[in-house]
Amino acid sequence: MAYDRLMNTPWFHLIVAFVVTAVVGVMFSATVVAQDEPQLGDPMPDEDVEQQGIEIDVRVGARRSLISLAVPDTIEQRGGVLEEAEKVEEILRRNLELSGYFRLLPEDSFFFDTDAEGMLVADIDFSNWFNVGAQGLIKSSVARDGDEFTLDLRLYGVEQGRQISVDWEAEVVSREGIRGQVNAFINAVLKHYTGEEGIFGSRIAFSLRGDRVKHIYTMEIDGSNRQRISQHSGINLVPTFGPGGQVYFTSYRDGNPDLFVFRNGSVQKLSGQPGQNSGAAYCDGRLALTMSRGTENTDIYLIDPQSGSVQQRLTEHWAIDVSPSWSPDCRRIAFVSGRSGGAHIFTMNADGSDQQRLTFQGSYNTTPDWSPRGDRIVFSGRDEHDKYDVFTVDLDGNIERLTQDQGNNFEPHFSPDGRYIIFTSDRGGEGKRIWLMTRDGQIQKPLTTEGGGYEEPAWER
Amino acid sequence: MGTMTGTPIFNTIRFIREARMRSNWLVRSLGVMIIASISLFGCKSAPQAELDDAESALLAAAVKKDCAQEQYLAAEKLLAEAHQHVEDGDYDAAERKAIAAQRLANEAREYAEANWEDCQRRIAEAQRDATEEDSVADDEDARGDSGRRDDERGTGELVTVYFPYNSSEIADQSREAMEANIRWMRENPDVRVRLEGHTDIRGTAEYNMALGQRRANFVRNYLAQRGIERERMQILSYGQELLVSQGVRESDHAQNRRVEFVPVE
Repeated sequence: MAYDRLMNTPWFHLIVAFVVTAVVGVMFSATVVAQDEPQLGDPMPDEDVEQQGIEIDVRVGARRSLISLAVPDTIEQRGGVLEEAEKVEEILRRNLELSGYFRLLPEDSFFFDTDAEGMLVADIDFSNWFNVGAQGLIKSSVARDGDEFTLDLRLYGVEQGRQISVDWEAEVVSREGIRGQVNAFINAVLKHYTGEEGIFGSRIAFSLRGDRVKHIYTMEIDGSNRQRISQHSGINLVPTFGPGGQVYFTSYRDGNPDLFVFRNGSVQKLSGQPGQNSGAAYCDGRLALTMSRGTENTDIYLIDPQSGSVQQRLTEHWAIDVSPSWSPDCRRIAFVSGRSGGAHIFTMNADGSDQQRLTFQGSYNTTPDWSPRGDRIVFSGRDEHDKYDVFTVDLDGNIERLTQDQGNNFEPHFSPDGRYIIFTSDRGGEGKRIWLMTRDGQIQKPLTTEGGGYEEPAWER
Repeated sequence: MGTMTGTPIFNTIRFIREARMRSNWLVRSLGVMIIASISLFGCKSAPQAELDDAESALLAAAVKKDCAQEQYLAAEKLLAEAHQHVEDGDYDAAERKAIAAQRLANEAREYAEANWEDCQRRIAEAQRDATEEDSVADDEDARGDSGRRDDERGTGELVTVYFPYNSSEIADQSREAMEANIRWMRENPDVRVRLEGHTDIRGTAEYNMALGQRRANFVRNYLAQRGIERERMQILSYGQELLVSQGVRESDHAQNRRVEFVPVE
């Protein structure tokens, strides 16, 4: 062992290197030493960038404990369903993983023949699954009759050695219906383990930036069913959802940033006031909007969701006011204002009264989104190192940090149940992509994994 | 339930880990030797491969150099310096310069490709203007490359003005440019302009759209105070949506924080 230790010291390598280089007759340079020395600490932070940003560190809390799940390959029952079976197992594995509550056991750790094992309790050797560390076991199979498919999806408790009944029933579906069935099952599994339904099947909208073109798209949270909403091949941005699947967005189609709405399959202009018309926020029949109306500056207004006519002006200030977001009871509105210098999150009543500043740290806090649970508002802020990160603030102004040291993170938006947040991040250096995290920031996963230029994601709720 | 240790998989992992620990010293020593010999050869001869790579990168960028002139010229200069180092026998410096030259040449090409259409339009306009006789000398030092020309009536040119970070008041260096634009507006009393406000990429879309509008408004008020009729000036903000420089350095951001003067019919 002493010899081993010797061999592992940097000196030993230096000696070897020295001998080799000496033989060739040249002094070895300092770079040789540097190759084998450990890096001493991280690079020094930039000196004295202006200390105006938020200074909060990510909470170092206990890590969430994940439930171990085994998802063996989907069984092909009958009718030649290789492709469908692969699709089912892929959706199961990816989306269960994405949910942030499970650790999926690697299939190569299953040391026994899983293909030979059937769907039923009597077929399953639970001690094998226990030995690979599974707490839950998901068994799946597909059968085909012509163009119709029937899925069998079951959750088993490994320790208990029995099936766990979840709130899901098999239906006969077309090939296109398979994803919906699997996602409904995953949602039911999530309900069993967490007490609340999962997010799968819900939609998000986002914009995608190209070269002097930016389009609006919608897709399901797992990346399926991507659909382009905007038609004008120019700048389209800041999509939000209205009731019944409507999508609001701003477009420069007519040479001014006007508000459009996609409803009943077509795009119509809803507000074309001179200057800015953006960030439509819908709540129970009311539509808040950022507008400048030909004046020097933007303010928050209420407009008629059908006709687009102006109903009420909510803010009246010489500074910038943008980005309204409703509280879940539609009584208050969070927004961004530049009135106290920099940009900060404010709240006000739905009629514009009682305007209060909510954030006092940092100097650039924007894009607030009020949690459907009502207790917190998530926003992106610039920190003391000039990095943009995602924070939440409660209604007393207490701030929590959700992202740190992972590139820049922007435009957070809550899931319908308030348990997740989508946001954009430029981490990884491939441009901005959409990410999903749990509301405490502990689990963060990419939703889009190719290309860049993803911006302004919004979750339908 | 059965025991959880001693499964084949765990044994395999343990075996691999131990094998790696045993062989570690050998691998690391080997690595050091290789690095030592590489740096040794690096000292002995000219970095021909790097010089060749830089040469071909420059060649590839050459056809597009008019659209990324600064980077291209800088890359050219670096390569020349690299050759000089070779002559002086400083091969390390030559290699560094050659690699930098290659990188810059590639950047120049990528930048030119990304901005091709815009750039071609500018070049065409510039050539058209060059054929016209009068050009006002004092406009020459005005900042900015994206000012657009009015080829019919102009005796000078409209130039872009720039702003500090998160500010809607022009940068001091842009006062000259503003004066040039005021002169232009006076010399072309029939022309209306659209003031297009832009921000850098930092920050978020809606706020930046509002900020771009404030910048355009600042310019309009400034010109109005100097006697230019308000009605001749429209306002349009693009926020962070139309960048002229895609990079993330401060120099890129500074180029993006701007108001462009666009003549309209």
